[in-house]
Amino acid sequence: MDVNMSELDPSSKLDKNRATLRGFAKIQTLVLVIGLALTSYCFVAAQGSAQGKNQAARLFAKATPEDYIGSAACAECHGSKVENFAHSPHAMFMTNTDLPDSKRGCEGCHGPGKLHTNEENSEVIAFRKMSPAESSAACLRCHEKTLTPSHWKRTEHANANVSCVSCHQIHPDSDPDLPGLKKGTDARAVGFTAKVDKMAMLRADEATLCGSCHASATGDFRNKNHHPVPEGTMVCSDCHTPHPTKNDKAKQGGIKDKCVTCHTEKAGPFVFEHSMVSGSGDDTCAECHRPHGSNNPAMLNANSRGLCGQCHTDKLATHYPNKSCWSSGCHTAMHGSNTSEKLLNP
Amino acid sequence: MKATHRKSLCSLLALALVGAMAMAQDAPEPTEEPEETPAPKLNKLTLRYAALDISGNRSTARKLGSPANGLTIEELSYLRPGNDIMPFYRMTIRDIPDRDYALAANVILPNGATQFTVMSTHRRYQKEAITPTGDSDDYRTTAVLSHNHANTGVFVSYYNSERDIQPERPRPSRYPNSQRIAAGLQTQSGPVNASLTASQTRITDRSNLNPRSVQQVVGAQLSGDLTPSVSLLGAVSHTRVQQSSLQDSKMNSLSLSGVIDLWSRSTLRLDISRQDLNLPNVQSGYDRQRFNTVARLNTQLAGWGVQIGYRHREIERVRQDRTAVDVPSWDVFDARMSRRLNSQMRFTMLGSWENLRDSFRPSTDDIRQLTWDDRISGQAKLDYTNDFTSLYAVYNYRFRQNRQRDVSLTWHNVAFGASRQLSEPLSAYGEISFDSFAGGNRVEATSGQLEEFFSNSMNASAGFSLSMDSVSTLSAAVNGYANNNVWGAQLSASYSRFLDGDRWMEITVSPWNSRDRLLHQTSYRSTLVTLKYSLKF
Repeated sequence: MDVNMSELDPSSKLDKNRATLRGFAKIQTLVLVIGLALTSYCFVAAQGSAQGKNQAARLFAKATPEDYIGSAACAECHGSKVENFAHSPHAMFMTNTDLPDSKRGCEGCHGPGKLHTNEENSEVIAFRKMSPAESSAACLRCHEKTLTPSHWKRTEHANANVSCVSCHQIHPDSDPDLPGLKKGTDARAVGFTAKVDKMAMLRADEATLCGSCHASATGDFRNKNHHPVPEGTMVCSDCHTPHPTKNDKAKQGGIKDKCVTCHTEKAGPFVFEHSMVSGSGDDTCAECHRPHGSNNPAMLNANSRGLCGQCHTDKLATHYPNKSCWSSGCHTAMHGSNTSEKLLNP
Repeated sequence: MKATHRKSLCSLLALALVGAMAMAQDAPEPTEEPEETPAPKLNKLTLRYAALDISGNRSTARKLGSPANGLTIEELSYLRPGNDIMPFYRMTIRDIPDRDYALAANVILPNGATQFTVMSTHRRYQKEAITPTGDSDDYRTTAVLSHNHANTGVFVSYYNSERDIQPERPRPSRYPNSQRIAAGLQTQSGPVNASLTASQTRITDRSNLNPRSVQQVVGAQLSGDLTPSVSLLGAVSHTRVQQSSLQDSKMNSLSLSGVIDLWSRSTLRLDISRQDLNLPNVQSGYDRQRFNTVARLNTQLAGWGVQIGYRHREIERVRQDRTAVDVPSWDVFDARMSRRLNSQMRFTMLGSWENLRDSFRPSTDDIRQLTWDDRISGQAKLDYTNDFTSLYAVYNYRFRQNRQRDVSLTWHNVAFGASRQLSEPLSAYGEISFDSFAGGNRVEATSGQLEEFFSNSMNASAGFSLSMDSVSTLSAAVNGYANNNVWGAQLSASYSRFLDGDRWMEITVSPWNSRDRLLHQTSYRSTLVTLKYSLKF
C-alpha cells in the first residue's frame, strides 16, 4: 500500500466526541511540558534546602566524631555477627579508612555506637524493627546512586510496605525469615543448569523469594509450559524490575519492551502490525500469552484457534473450521509481518 | 561451541586466573597468633554424575534445556572476601563440560566503588514437536562495569545474544542475534538527582526474514525531593529504529511524576506521560500518540492500608486506509486494601476495572471493535504464619467482555498452600491451584464453543524433608499439572549425607512423565539419576 502521510488530515475527520478527547490530550501535553520546565526550575532553586527527616538521617546528623567507637567495640557484644560479616560483599566497608566514620564499619549502617551504648536513651538503627519507609531510607543513604529515594517511592513494593531488608539479607548468618512458604529445591531444578545469582545478597533464590508473596505466579510456573524459572535457567528479575537500578534503567518500559529483550525477532516495527501486539492494547504480549506459565502450548491463554477467536469472533466457527490459525501454516506471522497484510508470512 | 562464546569462556577463565594470581601474590602473611575459630570455608566444588533415560518424544523432554548427562563439574565457586587492600572476588562455573553451562565472575575493587560483573550462559534445547526437531541454541553474555565516585555513578554494559531456533517443519529456522551496548551517568546535587542513559541495540536476523535493525535510545531523568514532602521525577527519551532498506522510525516520550506526602503514611501520586510515534514504514493501522494520566492515593484507614487509583489512557490511532484518526480511550479504576488481622494473619484484596470509552475501527473484514469493553480483575488473599506453620489461600477473578461482538470470558482461580514443621526433623509443604473458565458468544451462534478452547486446569506440588540423623537427610518433591488435554508429573527424591563438616554426598532419582491426549506423539517419560559429591575448601 502506497500511503503519503502528508495527505492525512485527521482533524477534519474527527467527530465532536473525539475532538473533545483530542482537546484533553492537548491540555495534558501542555501540563506535561510546563510541569517539566517547572520541575527543572524548582530543582535548581531548591538545592540544599530540602533534607530528609527519617530516623537514620536524624541520628547521623546529631552525631559528633566522638560518638563513633569502631566495629571492635561492637564485636564485644555482637561477636559472631561481626565475624560472619567478613565474607559479605559489604565487608570491605568495614575497614576502608577512606570512608567517613558515618559510612564505615557496623556504625555505617546501624548508627554511632556511643548513642547505642547510652543506657539512658539507647538509639540504634535496627532495620527489622523500623517502618519499611524508614528502613529503606537508611539503606538509600549509601545506595542512592543505584536507586534514588524518588525512584523507590514510586515502586509497587514501597507502596506495599516492602522494605529493602524484606528481600535482602545483609548479615550472611541471619535466618532468612521469609514471610510465606519455606520450600526446598524445586522438583524440576534437578539436572538443569541454574543461572548464577546476581550477588544481590537475597534471602533465597529469586523463585523462592518472590514466590513467598506472589503465590499465583508460583502456581502458574507449575504448569506444563512456562519460562524456565523453576529449572533455575531464568530468574524473576530477568523480566521484572523490582526496583529500577541505575544499571537497568535502559531496559525500563512496558511488557513488550521486556519480552523483546530476548525475543528480538518480534520487536518490529513491522510494515503490517498486529495492533494488540504493537501496543494499542495495554497488555501487548500478555493479551495472548500467560508468561508465568500455562498448560496450553507456547504459554497461550487459550488453545488453538480459540485464542484468536476471543477477538476475531466472526472467524471462530466458520473460517477454515478445525484448523489452528498459525500452526496449520496460514497466519504464521501473527506477531507482525513485513510482507503480508493478513500476517501470512514474515 | 561457537567462536564468540569460546572467546567469552576464555576471557572469563583468564579473568579468573588473573584474579587467582593477584591473590597469590598479595596473600597476607600468616598470623603468628593461632586463631580461636577456623576461618569459614567459602569455596565449593560439586562433582555430579548423571544418567538420563528418555523414552518417547525427546523434543518435549528437552524443550527447556538439556538435562545433565555423564560426569560434570556441577559447580565450582570461589569467593575471596575483600578488604581495604584486596578486591572482593567471586567466580562461579556451572556444568563444565556440558551442553548447557553458566559462568559468572564479580570483582569489587578495594575502594568499594568499582564493580565488574560478567556472566555467560548457553542453553541447548529442542522445540516441542510431533516430529523431533534439530537442536536449538541460546548463547548469552552480559558484562557490566560500574563505578561510583562522590555523588556520581557511571556504568557501561554489554549484552550479546545469539540464538539458533529450529521449529517444527515447515516453519523456517530462525537465527536472530542481538548486541546491546548501554552507558549511563547518574549524579546528585543536594536533593536533586539527574541521570543520562544511552543504549544501542543491533538486531541481526541471519535467516534474512526480518530486516537488520538498529535501535538507539537516549534518555534523561531529573528527580528528587522538592521539599521534604514533595518528590518529583521528570523523564524524556528519544528512540530511533533504523531498519535496512526502510525509513527510520522514531519515538519520543515525556513523563512527569509527583509524589506528595499528605499526612502520616499517606501519599498522593500523580503521573502524566505521552509518547509520539513516527512510523513511516507501517502500512497497517498504527498508534501515532499515546497518553497516560494516573492518580493514586495511598493511605491508612481504620488499620487498613488502602490504595485507590485512577488511570486514563488514550491513543490516537491512524486507520489503515488513512481516512481518519480514531481516539480510543480507557478509564481504569483500581483499589487495594490490606490489613494485618493479628500478629500472624494478613488479609489483602485488590481489584481493577478497565472501561473502554471509545474504540477504533479495525481494518479486518468485520469492522466491529476487536478490543474488550470491560476488563475486571480482583484478588483476595489470606496469609497465616506462625513459628511452625505457614498457610495461604488466594482467589483470583478476571472478566472480559466485548459488547459489540457479545462475547465474554470469565476466569476463576483458587490456590491454597501450606507448610508445617511437623516435628523437629520433619517438615512438609503442599500447594494446589485450580483454573476455571466460562465464556461464550451469542451473535455468532457459537455459545459454548469459545470456552472449549479455555480448558479448566489444575496444578499442585508437595514435598517433605526428613533429617534422619545429624548427618543424613531424606527429601522428596513432586510437581503435577493437568487440563483436558495434558497431564504430567515430576518427582525428585534425594538422600544426602555429610561425610564430615566440609564434604557431603547426595543421590537423587527423578522420574518424570508428560502425556498429551490430543498430540500423544509429544508424550515422554524420563528418568534422571544423579550422584553428587561436594566439598568446601
